[in-house]
Amino acid sequence: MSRLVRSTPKADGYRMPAEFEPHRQTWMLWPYRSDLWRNGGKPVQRTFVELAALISQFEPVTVGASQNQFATARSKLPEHIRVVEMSYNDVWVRDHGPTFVVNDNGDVRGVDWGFNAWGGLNGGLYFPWDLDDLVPQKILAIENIDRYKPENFILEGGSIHVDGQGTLLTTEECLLNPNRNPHLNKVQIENMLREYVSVEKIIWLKKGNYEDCTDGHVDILAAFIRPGVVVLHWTDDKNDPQHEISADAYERLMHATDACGRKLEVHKIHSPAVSYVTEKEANGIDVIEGSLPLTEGLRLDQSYINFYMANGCAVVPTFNDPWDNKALDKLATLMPERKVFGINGREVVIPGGIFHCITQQQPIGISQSAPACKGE
Amino acid sequence: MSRTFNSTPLKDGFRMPGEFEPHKGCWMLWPERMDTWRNGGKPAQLAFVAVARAISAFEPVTVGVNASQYDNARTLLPEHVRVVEISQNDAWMRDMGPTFVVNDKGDVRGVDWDFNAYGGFKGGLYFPWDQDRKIRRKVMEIENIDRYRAPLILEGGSIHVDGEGTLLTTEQCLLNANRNPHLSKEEIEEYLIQYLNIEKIIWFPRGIILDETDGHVDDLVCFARPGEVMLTWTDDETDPQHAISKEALEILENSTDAKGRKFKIHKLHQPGPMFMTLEESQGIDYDEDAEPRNEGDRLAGSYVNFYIANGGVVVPLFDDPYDRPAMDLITKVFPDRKVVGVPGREILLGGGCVHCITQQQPRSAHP
Repeated sequence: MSRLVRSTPKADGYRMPAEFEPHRQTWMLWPYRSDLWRNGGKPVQRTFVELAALISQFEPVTVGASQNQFATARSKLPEHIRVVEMSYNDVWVRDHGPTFVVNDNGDVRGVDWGFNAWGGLNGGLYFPWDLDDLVPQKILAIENIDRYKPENFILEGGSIHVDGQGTLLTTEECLLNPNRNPHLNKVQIENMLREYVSVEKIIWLKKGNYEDCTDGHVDILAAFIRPGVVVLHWTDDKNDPQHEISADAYERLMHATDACGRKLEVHKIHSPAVSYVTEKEANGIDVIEGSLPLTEGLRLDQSYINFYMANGCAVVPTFNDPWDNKALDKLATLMPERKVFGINGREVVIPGGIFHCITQQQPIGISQSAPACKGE
Repeated sequence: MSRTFNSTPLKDGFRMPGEFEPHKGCWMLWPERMDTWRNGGKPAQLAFVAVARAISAFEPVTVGVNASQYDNARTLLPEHVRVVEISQNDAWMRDMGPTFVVNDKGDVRGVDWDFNAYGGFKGGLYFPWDQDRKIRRKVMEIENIDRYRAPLILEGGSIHVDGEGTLLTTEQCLLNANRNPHLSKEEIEEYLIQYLNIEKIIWFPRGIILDETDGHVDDLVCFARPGEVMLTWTDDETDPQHAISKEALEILENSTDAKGRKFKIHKLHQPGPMFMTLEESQGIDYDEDAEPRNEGDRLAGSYVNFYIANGGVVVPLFDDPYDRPAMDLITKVFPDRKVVGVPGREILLGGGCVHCITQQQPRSAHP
């Protein structure tokens, strides 16, 4: 049973753990809509299978599949991956899935944020999003996990990153966008974050990546790899508008302290070469009024930062680019406790996200004190 | 994770337990289709809610619903009942749900029979049934329960077992040409032996009168415990049901179970007979491919279609003079269980009752 808890995680002693804390399992959804995924979703389904199969070597994976795709998903995915039926408008479970929170007794609950497909009728990416909005409730019901439901508050999981010790990273471009919570000011939004993921310190970056269709989700720009250590999407090319964005983020991160009072260690991960949707790719995508047009020449939001950390591993998107190996090497050096893998992310990145955007970790409840700040 | 085995439960040491053995929980579906359920399914939905609520006092209940009804079901059902999305053509979890089997170590697996909506194109009740066929697998995926795929069309309501080697069924259903016409009686018996791990099959010729499932046994007779059965009955010798029940009684009196025991038999007097009213009939959509439901149709009412939960029995009631005697007898037969009545008529109008819309999942030794 999954009860609706009419309180807040903070009031009940729950916090959002960091992605690098231990997981019970990973959730994914199965891609099929032909106005976002080229050629009926068949190429990207292969990438999803590759990603799910890799993660499942490190922790259990559950994939939600819609009615029409259940049999296909079940037959394409390895048998040891759980496939459950679920309706959704699209597959971005990072963004519309639940944000799990834990307490010191080993209990796990979930936050069911409001969702409006990255901006609703004011710049959102598709319509309708009614089924997406039910995804957290359905996941939490299957897992018998109790649920918090913030009232009147839109948030996507990819727009925040936490270190598990009280610090949250986000962007003004997304969280203060009038197409999300125009009735709330910055302080009120901060208060919602404090209440629902139990953080004390919020580090605001200004903008997300250049031409990021989510209005600048942080999870493709910067990520914690452990408390006090951040990796940042970077380009040395000063003619690329991304340079200014990354440089501003770098400055803000270098001047910030986290909830434990630490200065942050920031590592730049250089971007792959700028790449665009090809004519061939665009021709494989349905044109539907109400959906983001995915046309030839659209700049792809390619970034190594959108990796996903599972128990003992990190899966990094690669792009057949000379920078791939440098990124993999650097991330492997920075995360010696994890095996670092690359999987080609091209098919996933076309509609605008990569591996972090299509995964959601469900933490394992552990009876232990919340990680305390470690002295510098 | 749910692995699919090419073996059989018999070979792997698994058996189907009796319904009266301990459950982990109960599965149900959600009535919706308007050619089965009157008035947009709304009265039946309330009846299902009452059944779910009653069972949930004894064991956890999960209700699978179509995507279009998720919000509505979630709102109408008590919060402590789990609601998950499972596409379905109709709502008979007894018949479309997995048949769970257990071994001596407390492992649980599930049998995924084939399904053709009670007879396919030769007298079946609706078309299509493509979503129903996937329900067993979806339930097992959610529960991480491994699966046997049985190459036999079988509905869970067409069999009853005592968990000690005995199975009850009807020839009218299992030998019906619209189920497995390519198999002989002996071949069907062999499948039941392989997939349920039973030794003795007691065949009744027919199910109850005008049962549209082609005579499921779960409206006729059930086990209360090993060696003890409850049989639907009528004293009215002019009712065609009388001959059916009498025939079943004689078979039971002259049979022994797999352990060689004679049966202790309780006659549970039927309600009614009951008939569909004009108003009820007018609330049901007409569909050429679905079973017509007309004013004056006799309803296949039977108290034997109760559900045995952990520490409880949930019994359909019909505002009938026989309700009280039925409750009294069931209470006497199950002295260690709390016997609860629920309104049965709205479910019965769709063609089955409490047992037909429920499926027990046995308790596992592994949480």
